[in-house]
Amino acid sequence: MIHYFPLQNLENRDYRMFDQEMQKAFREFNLPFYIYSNELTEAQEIKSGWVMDAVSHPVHCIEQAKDFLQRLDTVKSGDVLFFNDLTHFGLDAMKYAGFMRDQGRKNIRICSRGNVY
Amino acid sequence: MKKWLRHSERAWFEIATRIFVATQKPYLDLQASGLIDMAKVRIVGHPFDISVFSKVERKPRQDWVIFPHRVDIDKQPFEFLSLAKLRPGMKFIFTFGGKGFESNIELYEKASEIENVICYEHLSKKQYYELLAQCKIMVSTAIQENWGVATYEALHLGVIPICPRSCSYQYILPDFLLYNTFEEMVQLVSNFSGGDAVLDSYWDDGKSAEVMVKSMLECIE
Repeated sequence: MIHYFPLQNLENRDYRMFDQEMQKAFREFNLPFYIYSNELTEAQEIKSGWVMDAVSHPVHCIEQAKDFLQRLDTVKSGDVLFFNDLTHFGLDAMKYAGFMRDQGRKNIRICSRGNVY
Repeated sequence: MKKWLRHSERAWFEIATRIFVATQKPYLDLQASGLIDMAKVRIVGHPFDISVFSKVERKPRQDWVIFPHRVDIDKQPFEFLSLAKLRPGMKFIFTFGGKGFESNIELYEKASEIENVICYEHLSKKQYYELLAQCKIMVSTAIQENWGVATYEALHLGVIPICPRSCSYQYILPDFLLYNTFEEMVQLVSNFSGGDAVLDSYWDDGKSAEVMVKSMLECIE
């Protein structure tokens, strides 16, 4: 299972195309995947900041982390967490929770595209 | 970079099993940072659905120059304005993407004072591609660009990209399209305007997402 964490679903960045291409590739390789919170809300629009909105990007990450933590028991050995950007303000929380819940003994991989900025 | 952010990045790098980057530029930046085990890093190109470019409605190409970035400080839009002032016979275009002029009032006010500068706001991606396909030249003045997405878009639509000899550009463009100084940029724009110069069709096959998934599967096995 791929636990998939896309960036905000913004058409005028390359994020949406990137997301669509990744989902297409997962399907081509017959990999089951679960998408964590990529609904586009007004709050996700970029209103301040250079690349990502100064407020909505951390909010987006935290919402994804919350969703993941609530599903933590579904994470199995061999699963992959795939992030469309490594600047993820929730990654440490996920790692912490997995470690404390003994996910560290499981063979979980974390892959990511590098930071966009 | 702020110290706290450097520490955060170090943690993210440590947690990650594999990290994908588009070009040599971010790869070399990561290497120079000393924060990461480079065995984790793979250069994979850009994830692009290149079929979108064949669907773009084409109008006759004009001798227009477009600024391909969001109008933020790291892209130096005011340098583009300076270029426009030096070439009053050419049309220079800013687009404000999903944002309106209110996202950069100062730039909009200064651009409005220059007769040959036109600003478009609230363009959809489709509208932007149609406008881009009408332009002859794309000029980047960015001081920060790890991916070069706008450059790939321009190339796929037959627009000549003129870019700094830095950032990702130096790894994705041939040398004759790169400049070191503002004066060299002005000269390159002059060289490519007015004539029939076109670039050979190109490059990235848009298969980056597949490459990433294959690499991801390798690290599971």
